[in-house]
Amino acid sequence: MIAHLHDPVVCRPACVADVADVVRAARSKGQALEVAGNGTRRGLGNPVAAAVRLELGGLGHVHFYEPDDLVIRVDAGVPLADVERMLAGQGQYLPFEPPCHAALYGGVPARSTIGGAIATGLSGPRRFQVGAARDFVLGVDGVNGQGEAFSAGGRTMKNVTGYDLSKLLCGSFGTMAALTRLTLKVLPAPETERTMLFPSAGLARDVAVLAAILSRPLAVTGAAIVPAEGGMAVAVRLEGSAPGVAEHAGRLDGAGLPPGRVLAAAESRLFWSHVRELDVLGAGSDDMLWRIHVPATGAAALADALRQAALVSSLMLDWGGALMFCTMPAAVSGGPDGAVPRLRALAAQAGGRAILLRAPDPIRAAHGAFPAQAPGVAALAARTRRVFDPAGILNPGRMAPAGESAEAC
Amino acid sequence: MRMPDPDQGVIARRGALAARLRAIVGAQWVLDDEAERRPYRCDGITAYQATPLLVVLPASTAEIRAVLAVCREQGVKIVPRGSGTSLSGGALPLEDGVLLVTSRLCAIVAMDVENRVARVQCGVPNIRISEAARPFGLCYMPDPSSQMISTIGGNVAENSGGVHCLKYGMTSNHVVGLEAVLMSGEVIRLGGGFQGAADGELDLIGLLTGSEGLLAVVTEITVRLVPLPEAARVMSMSFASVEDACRCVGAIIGAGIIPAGLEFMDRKVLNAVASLLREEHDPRTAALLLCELDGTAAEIDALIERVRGLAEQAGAIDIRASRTEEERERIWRSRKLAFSAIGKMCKDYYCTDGTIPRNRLPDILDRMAELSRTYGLDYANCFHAGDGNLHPIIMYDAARPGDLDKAEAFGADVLRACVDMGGVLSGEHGVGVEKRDLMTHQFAPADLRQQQVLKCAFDPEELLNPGKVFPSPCRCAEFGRMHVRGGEMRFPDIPRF
Amino acid sequence: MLNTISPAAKADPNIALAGEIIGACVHCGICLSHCPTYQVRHEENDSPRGRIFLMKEMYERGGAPDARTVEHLDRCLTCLACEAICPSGVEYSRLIGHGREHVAAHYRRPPAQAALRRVLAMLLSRPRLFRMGLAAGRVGRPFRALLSGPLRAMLDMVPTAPLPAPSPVDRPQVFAAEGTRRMRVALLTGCVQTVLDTAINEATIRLLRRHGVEIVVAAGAGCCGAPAEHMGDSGRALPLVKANIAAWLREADGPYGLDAVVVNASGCGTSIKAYGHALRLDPAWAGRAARISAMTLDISELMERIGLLPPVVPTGLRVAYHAACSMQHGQRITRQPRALLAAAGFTVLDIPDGYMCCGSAGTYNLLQPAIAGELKQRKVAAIRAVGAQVAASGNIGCMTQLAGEVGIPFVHTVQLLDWATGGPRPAGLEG
Repeated sequence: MIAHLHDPVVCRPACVADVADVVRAARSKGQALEVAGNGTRRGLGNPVAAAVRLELGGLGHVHFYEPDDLVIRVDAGVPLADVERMLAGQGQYLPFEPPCHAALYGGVPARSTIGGAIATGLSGPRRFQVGAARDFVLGVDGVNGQGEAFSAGGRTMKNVTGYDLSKLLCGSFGTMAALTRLTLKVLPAPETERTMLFPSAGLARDVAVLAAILSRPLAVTGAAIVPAEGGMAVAVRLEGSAPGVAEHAGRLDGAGLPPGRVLAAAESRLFWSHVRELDVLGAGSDDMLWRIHVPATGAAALADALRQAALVSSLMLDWGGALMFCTMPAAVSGGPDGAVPRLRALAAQAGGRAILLRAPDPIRAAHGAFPAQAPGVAALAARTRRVFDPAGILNPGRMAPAGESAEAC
Repeated sequence: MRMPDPDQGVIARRGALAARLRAIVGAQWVLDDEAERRPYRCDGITAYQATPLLVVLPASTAEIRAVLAVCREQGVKIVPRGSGTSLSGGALPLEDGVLLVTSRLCAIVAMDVENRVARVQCGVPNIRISEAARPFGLCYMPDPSSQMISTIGGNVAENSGGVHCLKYGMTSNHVVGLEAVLMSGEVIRLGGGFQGAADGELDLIGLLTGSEGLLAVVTEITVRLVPLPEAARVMSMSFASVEDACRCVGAIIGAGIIPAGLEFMDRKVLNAVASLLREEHDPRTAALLLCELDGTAAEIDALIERVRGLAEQAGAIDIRASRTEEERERIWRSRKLAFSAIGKMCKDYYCTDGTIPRNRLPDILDRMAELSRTYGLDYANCFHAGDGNLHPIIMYDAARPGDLDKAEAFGADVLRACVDMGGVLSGEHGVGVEKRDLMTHQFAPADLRQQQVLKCAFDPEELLNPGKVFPSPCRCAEFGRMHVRGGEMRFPDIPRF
Repeated sequence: MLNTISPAAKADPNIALAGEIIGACVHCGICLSHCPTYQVRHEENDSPRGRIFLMKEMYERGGAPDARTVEHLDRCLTCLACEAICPSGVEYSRLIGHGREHVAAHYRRPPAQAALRRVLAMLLSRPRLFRMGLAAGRVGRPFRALLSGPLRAMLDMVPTAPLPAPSPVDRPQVFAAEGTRRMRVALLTGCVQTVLDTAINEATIRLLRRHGVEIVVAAGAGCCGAPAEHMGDSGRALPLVKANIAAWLREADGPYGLDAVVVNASGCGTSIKAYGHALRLDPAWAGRAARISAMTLDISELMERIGLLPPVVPTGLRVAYHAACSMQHGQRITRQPRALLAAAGFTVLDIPDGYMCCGSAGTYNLLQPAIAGELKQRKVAAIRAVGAQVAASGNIGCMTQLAGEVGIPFVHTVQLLDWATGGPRPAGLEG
C-alpha cells in the first residue's frame, strides 16, 4: 500500500493516442496506473500504489480561447497559472478561484495543472456565492480505464444533452478516466474588490452575522473568519464595479459588525490568496491539515469541541462558516491513530464531513483521506467507477472512503 | 417515434399488478381504468402519445421504494412524471410501463434560512419554493417558463434553465442535496443541507441532475436559496436587422456584462404579440432584444448606460429602459406571451431547443431561413440569446397529412446545424424522445457508449424510463459479467428501437 | 391538441365549438397550478388539462360517457381560475359548460344522484321553495348523524341563525334616485340571496340611490339560471334565462330605458354575461340575449364608473378582500372592488393564494362535500392569517361558505361601501 517503496515508472505522453496506449497496455497487463498531471498534489486523497505513473502534464495545447464567448478549451496538462494569466490578459478569470495547494505537498505551484485542479475539484473562497469547479466545466475529454478516448459535454453555456459527465468527472481524482482536455466557462473578472476586516466577536456570533449579511443582496464574494493578531478576524470581500463596491460597503455598516479595517484592491487580492492557500493557518510543515464541510450553523460548536478535545492547534472558517480548515499537530495527544477518528466523529456529530487534506501516507492509508460514506452511496460510487474503469486500474483507492481501504473491484 | 415494443405478457398482467400496487399506495391512487389513464398519454409535447399500463400516485419515498421493488420483481418498466410539462417527451408513458406520478409528494420539508437552503419533496412546483423563501428575502433562482407548475423533481431530471440562468445558472448549479430511490429499491442520500456537503465525493448529484429519469427516481431535493435581487430593470432594444441584434448580444457579453436575462424576438413574434395585445410596434424593427439588469439602483443605472452605448454602436433604432416595476412587467409581457401569440397565428407549432456558441447566431439564423424555404413551413424565433439557446418555433397544421413530419424534419435539421456549428441538441428541454435519434449526430459511438454504460451502475435491467435519451438500449448484460442474473442473460437480443 | 372528433359529431355546433377550443390547448399544464381540485387531489384527471383530455375522448368516442369521465367532470368547480391563467386563451368555461350538457343528455346517472341534482336545481332557483327547504332542514338537523355525503352536507349548510324575513325591496318595484338621476338600472335581486341575506340588496339599493341611480326590480325577473346550468341542465336553466331577458328588455325598451343590468352576486353576473353565448344558436333569442349580456355590470364595475362619494364615516378597518372566482376569473374583475374599498377608507388586505376557490361554487359544496370542505379549510386558514377585522366579498355563495368560520364578520363589499358613504353599520360589525 505504500507508494514510495519503489518509485514508479513515469509515462508522460504528448498526445491523447499515446495516453490511450498507456492505459490499454496497463489494462492488458492488469497493472494499476497512478494518474497525475505534474504530480504536484499527490498528497491529496489516498496514496496510490502503482508501478506506473501516467503524467498528463505533457498535454499542453491551448485549443481555443474565445473571450467574447466566455469559453476556453485547453489540454489537461496546461499549468493552472498559465490559464489564469491568459484569462487575466482579457480581463477574465476562473470564478471558482481554484486553490493550488501544491505548496502544501511540497510541489512547485507553477507546475500545477488545470487538469489537476479539475480532477481534484477544489474550489476556493468564492465558491459559496458563484459556484464550484464543477459548475464551470462545460466539457471534458478523457481516456477511460479500457483505454478508450471519449468526449463529453460541449462548449456552449447551456447543455442538457445526455448525462452530465463533465460534472461527474470533475472531482473524480482520476479514478474514472485520465482527463486529457477541458472546456471551461470563464467570466469577466470584477473590476475591483475590497475587503473589510473586523475583530471576531466569537465564532457563533460571527457566523450569525455573516449569515445575516449573506441573506441580503450584497456583492459579497468572500466571508471568512481567520486567525489574526490577538485572536480571530472576520473578513468580508466585496467585488464588482468601483461604485457598486462602495455602495455595498456602505450597506455593510450597521450589519452588526464592529468598526473594521479596509483592505483596498491589491491588499485584498493578496489577503484572499493567503486564505485560499491556507497560509493564514500558519501550519507547521509536519502538521496534519483538515478540510471540514459542515453546516455553518454547526461550525462554531464544532470548533469549540475540537479545541476542547485539543485536536487542533489552529483553525479558520470560510464560506460563511460552511467550510473549516484546521491543523492537527503531528504530536496530537493520543497520537494520530486515536485523534483522526475522534475528529471525524465530532465533525459527523455536527453534520459535517472531515477530509484529511494533508497527512503522512501511512496515516492517510490507514484512515482514509475521505470520511466514510453511507454503504449504499459508497457502493453506488464504486459501481459508477467500474463502468468507466472495469478493472479498477486508474488511481485505485485514491478516493476510497474511510473504512474501505481500496474500493472493491 | 419508435419506442421499444410493448411486452404483451406484462400488459396481460395489468390487473394483478394493479392489485399489488394498490396494497402499497391505496386503492384510489392506482388508475387502471382506461378512461382515467388516457389523460396521461402525453406531457408538454402532444405529438408523442401512449397510454400507460397503469398510473400510480405514491405519497412518500417509502411508497415509491415499494412500488419500484414490485416493478423490479415483476420486470415492469417505470416512467417517472412530475406535472407532465416536459417539452421533449421525457414523461411519455409506455404501454407496458407504470407511470409513476410524483405530484402528491408536494411538501416543503424544511426552510433553513441560516444555511440558505430549502429541503423539498420532488413534487413541489418550482415557484412554491420561491414563494416560501420570499418572506426571508430569499429565492430559488432557476425559473423555467413552466415554473408555476413544473415540479422541482422534474426540473432536476431535466436540469431546467430559464431566463435567469444566464447569470444565475441552471438547476444543477443550485442543488446541494438529493434523496433518490434506485431501481433496486435502495434509498440513497447524497450531499446534504448546506453547500459543499458532497465535496470530496464522486459528484453523483451532478450526474443525476439532468439524467432525465433514467438512473433513479429523485424523491427529495435540497436547493440553494439566494437573496432576492434588490432591484431589476429591463431594457428593450429594437434593431433594423437581425445581424445588428446578434452583434449587440456579442458586444454586451464581450464587454464583460452578464445580464440577468438577454432575450431575442424576431419580427414574426413581435407581429404576433402586437396583434394579440392589439398594440402597434415600429414596423422597421426586425429584431428586439430584452436585456434585464439587476443589482442596486446605482449599479443598474451604470449598466444601463453601458448597454445603451453598446446597443447604439450596434445600430439600435430604439432603446428603452423600464423605470417602474409596472413598466418592467409590461416590457416582459411581450416575451411571456410570445408562444401563445404564435399559437394564435398558426394551427400548431413545434418548438425545439438547440444551443450554439453565441458568435454563430447569425449563421444559424441564416440556416433556419434556408430550411424554411426547403420545407415550405413558416417559423419564428424567440430565444435566450445571452447563452445561445435557440427556440425556433416551426409552424404547421397537425391536421394536414405530412405536416408534422415536415415540421419534425425541419426541427431536426436545425438541431443538426446547431451541432455542426459547435453547439448541442438541447440547452434546457432535455433529449427525451424528441431528440433521441439525433444523439448520434452529436456524439461519436464511443462518446455515447461512455454515457450509456452508467445505466449498468444504476439500473442494469434498464427498467427506468427506457426508450428515452439514447437511440438504442445500453445492453448492460454485454458489459462485463456483473449484471448477468441467475446465470442468465437478461437481454439475449435487444433490437434497436 | 389535435383531435379526431368526427365530422358527423361536429354537425352539432356545440361539439364543433368544443373541438376548436380543445384545438387551442397546447397541453402546457399551467392551468394545473391554479386548479383547486388539482391542488387537493394532485391527479391529472382532476385538472383542467385532464378534463379537456377527457372531453376530447368523450367527443371522439361519441355516445354516453363512462362513469369515471363524468365523475371527473362533476368534480370541476367551474371556478375558471384555469381560464384566467391560460396562456393560450382556451375557453374552458364554454368547453365544460357544453361538456356538462353533453353528459346530461347522454349519461344516465344513478337514480339517487339524479334525484338530488333535480331537487337542488329546483330549490335554489325558487326562493319560496328554498325557504321552505331550509325550514325543513332545521327540522331534519337531529338526524344528521344518520346521513352521509351530499345529504349531510346539505343539512350542514342550513343556517343555524333564524332566516331574515323576506325583504320588501326584493319585490318588483322602482326605487328613485336621490338628487339628480344620473342613471337607471335593473337590479337582479337573485334567488338564494333574497332568502339568506336580505341586507345585501338593501345596502345595494341605498348605495345606488345615494349615487343618483334609479333602480328597477323588474317584474318577471328571477333566478339567473346558474344553479341548473352548473349541473348541465339547460332544459331547466333556459326558461329562467329567457324570462330575465324578457323582463329587462321590457324595461330597456320602455319609456324610461335602462343603462345597465346590475348584479351584486358575481356568480349570477358571470352567468348573465354568458346569456349571449347560451342562446347564440337560437335565432329568436340570440340578439336579445347578447344585448342583455353586453349591458350587464357587476355592482363594483358600475360604482367605479360612477365614482364613489367621499366617505362620511372614518371606518379605518382592515378588510380581507376575498375575490370570488366568478368575480376574478369568470368576469375578470380584480381591481375595482379593492379600489372602491380603499377609496371608502378601508385598508384592503389580499388573501394569500387568492386565486383559489373557497369550495362554495354554486351547488358544489352540496354535491362534492369532501373537496369543498378541504378548500374551505384552506381558505379559512388563509383569511385568518392576514389579520383583518372584517372580510368582504362580492358573492353570497362564498359568504355562506365561509362566514361561520373565519372568526371575523363576513360582509358583502357593498355593505361596507354603503356604510362608509352614509348607510348603517353592517349588522355583523356591531360591537
